[in-house]
Amino acid sequence: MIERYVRPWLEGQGFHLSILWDPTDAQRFLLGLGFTLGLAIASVLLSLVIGVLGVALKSSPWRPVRQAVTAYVELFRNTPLLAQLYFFYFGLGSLLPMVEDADGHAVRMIGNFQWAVIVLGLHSGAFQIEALRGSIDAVPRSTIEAAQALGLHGRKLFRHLILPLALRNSLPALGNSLAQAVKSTSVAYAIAVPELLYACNRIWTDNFNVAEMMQVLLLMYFILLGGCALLMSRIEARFRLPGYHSR
Amino acid sequence: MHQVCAVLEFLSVRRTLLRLSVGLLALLGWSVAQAEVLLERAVSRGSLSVCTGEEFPPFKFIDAEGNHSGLIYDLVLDLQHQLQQATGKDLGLQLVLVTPVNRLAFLNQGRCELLVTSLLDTPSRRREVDFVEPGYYSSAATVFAPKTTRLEHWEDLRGKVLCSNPASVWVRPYEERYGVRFASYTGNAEVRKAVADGRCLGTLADDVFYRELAKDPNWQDYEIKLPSQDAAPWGIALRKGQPELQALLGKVVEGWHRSGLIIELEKKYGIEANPWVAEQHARYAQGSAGQ
Repeated sequence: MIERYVRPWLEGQGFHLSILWDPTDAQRFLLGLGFTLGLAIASVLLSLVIGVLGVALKSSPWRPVRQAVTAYVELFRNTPLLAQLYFFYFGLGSLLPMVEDADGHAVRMIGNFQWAVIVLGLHSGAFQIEALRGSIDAVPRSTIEAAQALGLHGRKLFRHLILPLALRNSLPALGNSLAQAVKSTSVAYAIAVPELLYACNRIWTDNFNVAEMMQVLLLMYFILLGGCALLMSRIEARFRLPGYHSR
Repeated sequence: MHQVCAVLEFLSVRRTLLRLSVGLLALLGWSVAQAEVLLERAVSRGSLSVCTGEEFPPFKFIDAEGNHSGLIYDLVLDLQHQLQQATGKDLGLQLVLVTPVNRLAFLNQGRCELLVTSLLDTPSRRREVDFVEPGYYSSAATVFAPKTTRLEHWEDLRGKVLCSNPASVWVRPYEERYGVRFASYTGNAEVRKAVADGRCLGTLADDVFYRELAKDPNWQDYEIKLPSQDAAPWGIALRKGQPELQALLGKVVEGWHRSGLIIELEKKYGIEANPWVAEQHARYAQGSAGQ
């Protein structure tokens, strides 16, 4: 069907969309999509863990711990992601020991996909800490006092009141960082993780259909991020508390 | 009535536009049909723009004084000289630095008249640009890896990871033929760093470049692993639709082969003699002797 009707028509328009009829290219592209999604999910999860841990550590009674968290946040917020990726992969990564892979070949510990997840997670984790901290601060003082008057204290107060409200507060910022995380996966291209951009680069190198693949690439990210936005608005609607939000 | 007028007006505007565009198209067709003026834009600009890449020394590099140097650069200089004679105009030389990823696009966008780099002349690239025949140099695929790596046949590479340059024409055929898995990095420096870091078994390599790199004391623990295969000539590329320039450049390159200029440059830069170049020299030198 594609070979008979779609291909001649598209090529007639000068549109060499090889991912539709070349099985190798189609596979590359789908694999790329899979890697992009995998990177995004893994790095978002990691960044959430880092965010929650970081917030907890930031309220630690020990000053050095608080300072360490601040230093981490500042370092990762104020340096470019690509530079961080190169630093970890080519700089720090090359200091790690060699290990044997399944075939007995010596390879460097921590591969490119793992490094990409780690760096993307650390990068958005820094933003996550700030977002979560802001939303904890935004829990109204009066609500906390009311809860205290009803006898809630310490951990119970945090678990039953502050955390549920803070998480709701943080949802818009979380949506932002989710979108940012999906977009950021494209830098993993620089360390040969075969995600979408890498796959498209491979495909346009073989077929010289740069313009076509650039459009496909842009559209794919647009669809992916549209999906994220939809997901986040669903979640926000689901957890909306009547009367709590101003609207 | 008003509406009818508006529609009529709109139609007449449309007709005018249509006529205009037909006229423009005709004009365009006419200019295409006109005979090619040799290097028209370069001549009007007074300088020849040549796209070239950062290659491995000693093919192209910046020397100790900060000047361009190398076998490819010397050939570009000769090209400039000969094109000046052919056009009868004084042409300066402007080098436009390209990467393996953007080189064909730069040429087709008109940022340069010629692309002179280690570009393999392959059928798929011929769909995009025209190549000057004959080629001026030649290279083939091999693997560059640590001396300790055990690798005897191409078939041993099944399922193994090789690093590669992002625009390599060998990636897809070698994936299909030998089941190699490739990790492409953005540039040659990153590829070499990845090989040194043990990110892959070795790199799929252009034999002439990596034979030179293997001589470098920093890379003494590495070597060329497999016999070269899939040799292809390096062609000077130009935009399509310039048959006159293409033919003229063909004569220039033939001249290089006939006079042995490329062999001289190999000696000058201490590059291992390329058997393909020697073959071309024998062929063209003999051809001219027979005439």
